[in-house]
Amino acid sequence: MRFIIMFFLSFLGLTLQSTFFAHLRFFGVVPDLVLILVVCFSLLKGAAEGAAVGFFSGLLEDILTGRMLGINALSKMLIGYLVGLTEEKVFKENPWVSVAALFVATIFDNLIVFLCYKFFSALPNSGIVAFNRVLWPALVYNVFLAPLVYLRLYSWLTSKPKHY
Amino acid sequence: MSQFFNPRRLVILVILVLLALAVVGITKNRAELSSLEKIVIDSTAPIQRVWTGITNSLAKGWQGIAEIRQLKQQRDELAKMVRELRNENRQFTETRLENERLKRMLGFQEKSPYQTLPARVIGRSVNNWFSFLTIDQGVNAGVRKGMTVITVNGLVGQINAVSNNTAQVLMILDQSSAVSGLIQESRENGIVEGTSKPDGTLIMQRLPRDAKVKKGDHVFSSGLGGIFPKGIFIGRVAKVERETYDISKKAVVIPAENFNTLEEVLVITNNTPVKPLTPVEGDENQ
Repeated sequence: MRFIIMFFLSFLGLTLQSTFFAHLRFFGVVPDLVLILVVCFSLLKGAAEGAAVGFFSGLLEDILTGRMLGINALSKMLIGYLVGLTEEKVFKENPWVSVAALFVATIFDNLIVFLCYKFFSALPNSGIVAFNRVLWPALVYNVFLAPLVYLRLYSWLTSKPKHY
Repeated sequence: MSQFFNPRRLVILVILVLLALAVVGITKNRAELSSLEKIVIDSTAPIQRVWTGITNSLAKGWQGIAEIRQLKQQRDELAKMVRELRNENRQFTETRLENERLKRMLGFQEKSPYQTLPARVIGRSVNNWFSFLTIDQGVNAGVRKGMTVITVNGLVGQINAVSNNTAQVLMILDQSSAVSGLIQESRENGIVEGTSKPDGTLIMQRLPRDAKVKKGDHVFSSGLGGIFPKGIFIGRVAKVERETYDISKKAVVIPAENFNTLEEVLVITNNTPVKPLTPVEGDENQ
């Protein structure tokens, strides 16, 4: 069930990115809500589930981007898996964990996407400039939103079912 | 890190990575989207519309807040402009009305058999006991005590006191005022006295017992007694009553002039009429 909810949240996140956050750009950049969701989810649920959510959410992002399929699926899956490996080693109650994870994940995600575009679609040499232009504002924006999303997911995923 | 090297997971991960890369490779040069992609993309449209609606509302709200200060400033400027224009308009209206009144007065003055001096009303009674007017002409302009004061419509009163530049007019409304009057239709004489009543009516006393006075008759000054010149319109009879003991009649007279709205008057500076005065336009409505 939580996979479906995560998938739906990613869907909502992507539509928000193209509408609401399009008006709230930070240095011309919108936040990567799917990345934030995948990282926070992986921190709480581990590598396998993180990779699965990352793959499908990334694929959805690819579809909605309307270009090559698989790039975001690949990067989000890898990020979900790698972040998920730390699940048992971090103090989950601390939202700063998500800040640190998002910081690394944003760099990693942008790097993979940049390399894939570079490799598969012959990105011009100025692509590195675009990478620089996107990365730093995206880092700030994602890191800023990370604790908000993390705390919501934490209270949802760690809440115990009610027994009547 | 043992998990990372978990062979089963690692194999799955590698397979998925390769799969993803393959998909990227396959889809990089395709001409058209697949049906599934089209469905997924289309499914976002309603949600995007909702978000866009919300976003636009928020953006408008935000923009509205930003515009409030500007609008406030504009509103203040416009309100100021409206005040100034209203004020200007009032002044224009006032000037136009004054112009009309003065024109009427000038026409009357030219036709009048008396020599008259125009004056502005600058004040009224300071208490409720007397019915006075203060005008802006005095000794310096030739105004003397006892001179008659009229308007285009009829009799106003008499100069009661005079200073160098102003004069006090005792209006015929005042209860101490008495004018020798004449009924135009029946030629009967009486004394028109002020009542100081709030309705501003006058009483014509001492009419003969058999006087043929009726409602609507015109009352003029008779000139008897030499105080007021003859033939100045005073008002119209509103009601005829019998006096106590039935020895004479009295008539309630409505003055020709509305004393509450008087702004300009004429002071008669010579008491020698050439022909009787007749009311100018408007007295029928009094």
